[in-house]
Amino acid sequence: MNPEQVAGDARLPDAAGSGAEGNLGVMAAEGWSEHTRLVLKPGSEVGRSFAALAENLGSVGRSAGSLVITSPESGTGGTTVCLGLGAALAASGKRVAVVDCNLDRPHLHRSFGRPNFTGLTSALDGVGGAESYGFDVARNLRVIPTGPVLPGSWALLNSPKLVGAIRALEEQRDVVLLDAPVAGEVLATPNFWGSFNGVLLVVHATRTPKGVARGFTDALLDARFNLFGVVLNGHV
Amino acid sequence: MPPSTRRRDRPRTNRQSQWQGQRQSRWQGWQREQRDDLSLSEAGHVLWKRRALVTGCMIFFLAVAVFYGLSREPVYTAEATLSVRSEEGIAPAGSFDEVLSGLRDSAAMQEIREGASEKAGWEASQADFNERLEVPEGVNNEELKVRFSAPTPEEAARGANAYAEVFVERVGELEGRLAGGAVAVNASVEKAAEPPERRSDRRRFLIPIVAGAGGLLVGGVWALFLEGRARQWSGSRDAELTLRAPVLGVIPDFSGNLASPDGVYPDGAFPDGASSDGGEG
Repeated sequence: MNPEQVAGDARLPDAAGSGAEGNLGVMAAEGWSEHTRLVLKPGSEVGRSFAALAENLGSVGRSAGSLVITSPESGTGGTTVCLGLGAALAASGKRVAVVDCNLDRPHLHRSFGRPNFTGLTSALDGVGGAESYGFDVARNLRVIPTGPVLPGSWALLNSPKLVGAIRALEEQRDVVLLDAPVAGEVLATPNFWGSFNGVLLVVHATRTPKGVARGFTDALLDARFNLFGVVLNGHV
Repeated sequence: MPPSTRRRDRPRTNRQSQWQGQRQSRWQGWQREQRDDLSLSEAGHVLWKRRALVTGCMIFFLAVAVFYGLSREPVYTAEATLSVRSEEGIAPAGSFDEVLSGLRDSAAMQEIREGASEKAGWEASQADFNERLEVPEGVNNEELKVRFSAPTPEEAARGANAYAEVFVERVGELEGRLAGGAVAVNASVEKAAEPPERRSDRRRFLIPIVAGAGGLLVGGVWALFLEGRARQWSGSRDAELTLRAPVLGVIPDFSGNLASPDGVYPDGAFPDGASSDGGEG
């Protein structure tokens, strides 16, 4: 799907709640996981939470530029936070791109039931910027999957070429949300994290051990990361 | 090599340098603070959150201390005062010292103790009697205070008085034996021991206090240990105090809002690798 296919003001299908009050301009949602539909539904409780997160980021002057979203462990919902925050920022009129930087374990494309034939890695090899290898999921919200990856591709994360591709994307988008691997891997790629505005750490309210989260927060700050703050996901 | 050093080594683009500068100026106070030590607010938060555990530990330690205190026999200490004086003018020079050295002799001391134990009607062992008896090491030309501790006030007074009386008798015997009876040493019970009105084991109050403080300490350390391993975050305040970083958003668990065509998805069984509460990635 390319930008010309934007349906504008399309409502969410029944599975996500018929008559959704959200007016995000969500694309046709065939193949999307129910989970993704709910995250991109702005009128929902979870949508309001993401709107509050976007507002808080804005209030501390951090709602522009590129933002690395990472977590102490996998399974904390970093991708969900990327999508939800992206949707909330897009709803406020910002042009947002969500980039899957999990070059070892790509999964953003799966949320939308799409193949991973093109994406970020295509931009490194081929012609055109990363923007052209993504697809719109809502008005102002473009998703860029990893594209084809090989074992060991995560090392590309530290490459200046990848950083350059994302920098080029920043020229076209107000906000670039980088769905990054776990903090341990991000710490090992200083070229990557050192090139963007800041980091948002996602912890899961029932899965992330506190000691581990504290250890990574300390490690990120010790490494002089510009840690904007923390998102507590899955709070019961 | 630390990441900060590595970063200095590589070339920066103009734009990168520009926002690096912005970043420094935007550096928040919480990002600069010393993070190695446990802060008072963090410790207070953890202790309050796990107050049941801390209180439980304290109560347990207190209960053990109280049980120990109750199971111990009470201690009453009675004191008798003896007077040992040389009768000046009558005794030849050095004779008083001779009597004293006779009393200091360990065999003589033991003899007095055995006599006192018998006189007091002490039913337990002689070693037990000796342990309860407090007599100053040296005997000089002054007062001699004898203390005896026992489970009842009467026994305590009886023990102290028995020792005092046997001691006086012993001095009399030595007086007659030395220097052909020319040595004159006046030993008498100046003040007989009275049954004490109060218990003397003051430590019985100290033990529960120390136990309570120990319980608090053990409970606190345990609470901090458990908190480090815990996976349950109670909210943004909990996260802020634990991580010492601002929580910009709290996303609720919305697994209850997701339904499969047949009903609710079982936990961890969502399509596309998504978890029930948004646990992708």
